[in-house]
Amino acid sequence: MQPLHTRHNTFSLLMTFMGGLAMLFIAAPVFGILFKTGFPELKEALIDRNVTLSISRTLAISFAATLFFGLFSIPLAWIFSRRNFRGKRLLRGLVNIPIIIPHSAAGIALLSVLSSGRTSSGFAADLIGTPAGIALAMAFVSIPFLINAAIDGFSAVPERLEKAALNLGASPARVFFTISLPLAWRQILTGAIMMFGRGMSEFGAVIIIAYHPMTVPVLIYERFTSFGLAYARPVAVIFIVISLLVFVVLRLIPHPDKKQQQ
Amino acid sequence: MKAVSNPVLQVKGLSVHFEGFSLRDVSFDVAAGEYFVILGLSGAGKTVIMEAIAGLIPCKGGIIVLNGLDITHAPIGKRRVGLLFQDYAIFPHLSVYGNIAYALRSMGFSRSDTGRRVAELAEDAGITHLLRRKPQTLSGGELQRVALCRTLAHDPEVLLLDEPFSALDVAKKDEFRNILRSINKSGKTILHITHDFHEAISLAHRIAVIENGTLVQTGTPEEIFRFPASDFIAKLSGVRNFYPARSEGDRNIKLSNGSVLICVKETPGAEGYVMISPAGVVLSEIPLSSSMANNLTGIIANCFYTPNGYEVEVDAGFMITAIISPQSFEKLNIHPGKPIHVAFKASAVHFVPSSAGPF
Repeated sequence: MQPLHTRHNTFSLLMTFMGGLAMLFIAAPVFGILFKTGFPELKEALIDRNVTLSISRTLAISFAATLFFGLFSIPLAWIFSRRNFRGKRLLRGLVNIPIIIPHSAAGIALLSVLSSGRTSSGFAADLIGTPAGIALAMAFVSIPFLINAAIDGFSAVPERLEKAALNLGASPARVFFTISLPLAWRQILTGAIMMFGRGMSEFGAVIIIAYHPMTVPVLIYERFTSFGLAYARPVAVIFIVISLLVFVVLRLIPHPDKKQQQ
Repeated sequence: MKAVSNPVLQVKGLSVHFEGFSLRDVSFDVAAGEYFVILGLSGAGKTVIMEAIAGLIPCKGGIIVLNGLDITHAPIGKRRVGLLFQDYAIFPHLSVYGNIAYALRSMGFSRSDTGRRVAELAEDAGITHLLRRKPQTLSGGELQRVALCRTLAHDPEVLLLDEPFSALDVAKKDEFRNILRSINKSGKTILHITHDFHEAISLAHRIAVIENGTLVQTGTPEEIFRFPASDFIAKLSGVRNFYPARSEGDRNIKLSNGSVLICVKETPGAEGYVMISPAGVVLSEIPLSSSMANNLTGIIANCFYTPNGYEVEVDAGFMITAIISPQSFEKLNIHPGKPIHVAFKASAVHFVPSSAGPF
């Protein structure tokens, strides 16, 4: 008699088939475009100064936006995970608003805020069409990834460890920097990479704040509308590869060691 | 309650309401260098007292004074009390060295002073070989020593121990008991909470018994176990017949009045306390020829009725209590002044070593 577990299970087969289709749906366009694009076209795009400049600009702006807003996101996440106050649940929900609203709408909202300051001070107006403006648009739509991950990170640090550190005479600031932050860094780093990745890929909000200087998603769109698919594809492929690299880096972050969390 | 002459820690009328649990009007003093144990069943509120003293949970009423300073509402980090957490709360991302050095670094010790102090503490606790290790690779007993060193590093005024024996096996318990004794002997004031009366007897100068969030009795082990004021203690076997004693070797236990009792297990040359279960004490009018190893004669000093039977106190050179049935009470014609034979088995004599002694 055959052992039970090797028997074919119709249900399991059906699930595998259906699930496989979903997987294919995700993988096919990504790998399809990679195979469809010839090496000469890629090479040409890679030596195009507009493309390389746009890539480095996009990465740099997204990186700067992540760093800058990380400075404020981490304290916010700490407050959410360690303090109780009225309206916390409401505020916690508000954090996710940029994820659910259409990104073009997010861009419009951001633009209206920036424009409303136009008359009173030159500062806001200066941002439109600048790298700083692009950074704002990228950060606005991607900051929830960092905040949410950091909240999870801080919440996973046992409060007893922080209290033990306080009991040993450490100041609250020292406890934060020597206990809470080091124990939550994996989640924070994961969140930061997700914010960086999401920010650099942003199109909707960015194009409303700044068509120029061009980020890669805008460049792809511009080449597509002006010159067509074949012209846009090599740039798309290059940027997909870069995005996949970010994804790989994300997977390389070690998983939090369960034992270490005690 | 007797006032303590030079209290390090004073807790007066402490009330705490925390997560559905309440502590009411808890008062006690701990003298400098004293080993003070709070004894109570789980859920009686022991840990809440500890955490209130350490400042981990807020006090609703009462005051906590440490060395003359009111610390009731002081920030956790300013209290100078060292709490040894029941689960040790070792920092998982730091090495053993990093854990022990943590307090020293907070206090601004230089690198070399930190190194010297950590080496000393580790040497005393016998964990020098573990200093480079990560906590994940240590056993429970080793973690506890690391936690103890870490707590002692910043030289707290009072060491707070939260059920320190709960996770140790028997052999480790003896070892750890000796460590705690030597820490106390070196002058450190210790407040220790436990549910285990053996642990309390073997270490405490004084014991406070806690029931349902209030202290019901505070006193020396002898006062607590000879005249229990709480159901929890009264129900323990061996209370009432509780005496300071010395194990003389050869299974002989010598009481302070010179009487020698015979027990089953030998613990040579140790100070401690002996407990004899009143239910195991047999009274008879004639000398008994039996397997019972302890045979004494005495005069009945007192007798009274309790729901568990008659309690008869016999003066046999020391006061010993027997619990007998109403039928036996009638049959033996028990009354004060009557001479009587007292016998109990060696196995009814229970010796608990304790080097704490009177404080």
